[in-house]
Amino acid sequence: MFYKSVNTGVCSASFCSIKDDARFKYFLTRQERTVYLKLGCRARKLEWLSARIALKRILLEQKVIESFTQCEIYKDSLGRPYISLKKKEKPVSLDCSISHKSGYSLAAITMSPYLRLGVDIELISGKLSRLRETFVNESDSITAKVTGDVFYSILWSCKEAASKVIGLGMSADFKSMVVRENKGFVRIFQKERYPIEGKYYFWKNLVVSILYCSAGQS
Amino acid sequence: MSKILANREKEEIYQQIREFLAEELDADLEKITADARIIDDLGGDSLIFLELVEKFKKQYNINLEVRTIGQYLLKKSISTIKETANAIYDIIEKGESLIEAVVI
Repeated sequence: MFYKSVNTGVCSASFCSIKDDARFKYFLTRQERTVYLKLGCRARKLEWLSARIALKRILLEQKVIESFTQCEIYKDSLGRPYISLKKKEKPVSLDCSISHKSGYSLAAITMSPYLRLGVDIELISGKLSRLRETFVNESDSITAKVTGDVFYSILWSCKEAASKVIGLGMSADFKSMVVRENKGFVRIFQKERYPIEGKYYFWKNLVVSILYCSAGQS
Repeated sequence: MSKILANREKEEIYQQIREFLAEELDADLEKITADARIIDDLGGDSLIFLELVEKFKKQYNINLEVRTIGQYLLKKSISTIKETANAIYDIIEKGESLIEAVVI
């Protein structure tokens, strides 16, 4: 298993990748196992499991839980993940986001009741150049000296993460979002909304975006 | 402008969806059955839906925003090949009036 935690300064994030699922019972509750066993694709199973391992390990490190089965991760009707703590001695306010691509999963959690998170991993490929008309705004600009596939992958990843912050997923208006970068710091502007902020990173052949906005402003 | 797809056209679209997914997801065509879930059983992601929709938008000259289609797909809670095909038929048949299906 590959696991790497990242402190972004705003939230706790971690990457996880697994090659086999032999220990899946150790990480999942009974109900999660039921969902897991119904997944029909091996690659999907490994990404699904590794995303949950990544999220739960952050909770273990933050001492919110003491074992992997003390919480369950579900998705709401819009596909946004939420954490159900099995043992709640005191109320814990959490917001989380997950993404997976090419065998890697990324999870992020904030304990701040004032933040909403959104993360995305995207493979740098020609696919997003071909789809650029569906999501690129003519005012989008980033300072990194990149072009073509890398440029479009960064824009897509940032907008996809922003759509998760808003909680709309694919029904968000990607084309009207405007990405602006200043010294490695990204801001995404939308009409009549507060900007969403954060950073993107490169990881192997992937772009990773971790964005946030104050709750109530998203 | 609305369009009514004949059963033969629907069957062609259905086969095109299967072939597109087989190629993009590197999956055996036999595994792409009506009840197969695109994400959970075939390993697709949200981008694959966008690619599929764009393919048919171009093919049928449909002028619709991605956001409208996204809202429609979310409202219909699309998961399987059969549900995806039905959504594509609807998008082609309703065209720009799909927005009414999203708003109502």
